[in-house]
Amino acid sequence: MGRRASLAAIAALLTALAVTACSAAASPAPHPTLTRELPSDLSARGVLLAAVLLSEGDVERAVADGLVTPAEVDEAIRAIEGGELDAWAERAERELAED
Amino acid sequence: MGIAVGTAAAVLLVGGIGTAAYADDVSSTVSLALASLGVEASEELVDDLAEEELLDDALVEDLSDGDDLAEEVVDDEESIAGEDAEESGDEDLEESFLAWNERAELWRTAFAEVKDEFDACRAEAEGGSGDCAVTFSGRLQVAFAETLVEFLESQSAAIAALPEDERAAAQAKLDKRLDRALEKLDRTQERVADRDAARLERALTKLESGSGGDDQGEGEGESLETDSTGTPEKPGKTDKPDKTDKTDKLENPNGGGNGGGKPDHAGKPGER
Repeated sequence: MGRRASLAAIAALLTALAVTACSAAASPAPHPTLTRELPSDLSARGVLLAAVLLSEGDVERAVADGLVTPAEVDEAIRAIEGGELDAWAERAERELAED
Repeated sequence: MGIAVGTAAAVLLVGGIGTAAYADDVSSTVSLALASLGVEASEELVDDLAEEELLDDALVEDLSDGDDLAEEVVDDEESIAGEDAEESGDEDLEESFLAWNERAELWRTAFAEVKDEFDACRAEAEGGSGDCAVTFSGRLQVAFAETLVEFLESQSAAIAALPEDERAAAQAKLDKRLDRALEKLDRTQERVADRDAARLERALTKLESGSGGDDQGEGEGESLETDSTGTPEKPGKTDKPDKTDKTDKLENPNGGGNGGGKPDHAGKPGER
């Protein structure tokens, strides 16, 4: 009886651990773009602007005008090609909300 | 880039119908561009991005001053007639990437040099860093124009390596682009010089009227003695470019230059 109770307790414990592990796995780690420290010539806002200009404008003129930096253009291209522009938009949204 | 050009061509073709495709207002353009890239941005974020006053210029510039604009418009007119718009957009984006990558290294170098000068200026300015931003905005603009000229000149060697029957056409196209780039360099240098001269005049007027304090006046005077290259100059010199002396600038586009920029992101020192 006591042994059966012990086994049941262990089973319950294992189940609880499994559920905890599953729930941890279900909430994915934040995208690195959201958390990484950015150098002085890179901002989420600038990356989005660069992306817009790559699509609809003259990005080199924007660099010349100081609107975006070369690093932001490079990052925008990487993000578009890697399908990660959403993460930059999310970061920009957060930063805007914090302002 | 091509999307905008293509849309502009479409507008011309249909006599103004279709302006919705290329939004009149910057916010709409930003929103559409982000949507085309698969990003759903909030209205607040779109408005925040669209608030950049220089953004409008960079968007409009594409329709008025891009390289090979005429060729692009012709291409896009053809594409509008038959091709799937999304596929065309992807191709345009790819072209935009390639165009950037073509000159990116030159750009990074020019930007880094100007930024170093800007950082040094700010370090010395002790609170007057706004002058640094103004001074270097011209610096970066001219550096850009010089970089473009430098790049195009470097293409002559590549043309020399082409088969003989292709060489003449390629050289003619390159010459055309180089002429435009040199004109742009002249215009940029003149604009920057005029702006510097106007700043100097305003500062002198202010000093003569005695409205500025001694400290302020000296500080402003010092900053205005810096020409658009960041090189100390005598007050009154407007740094008007000598059009007959392009060679020196072309041989040393980023070194002996003028011009300037807002290396610390768009004239917002300290923002980043």
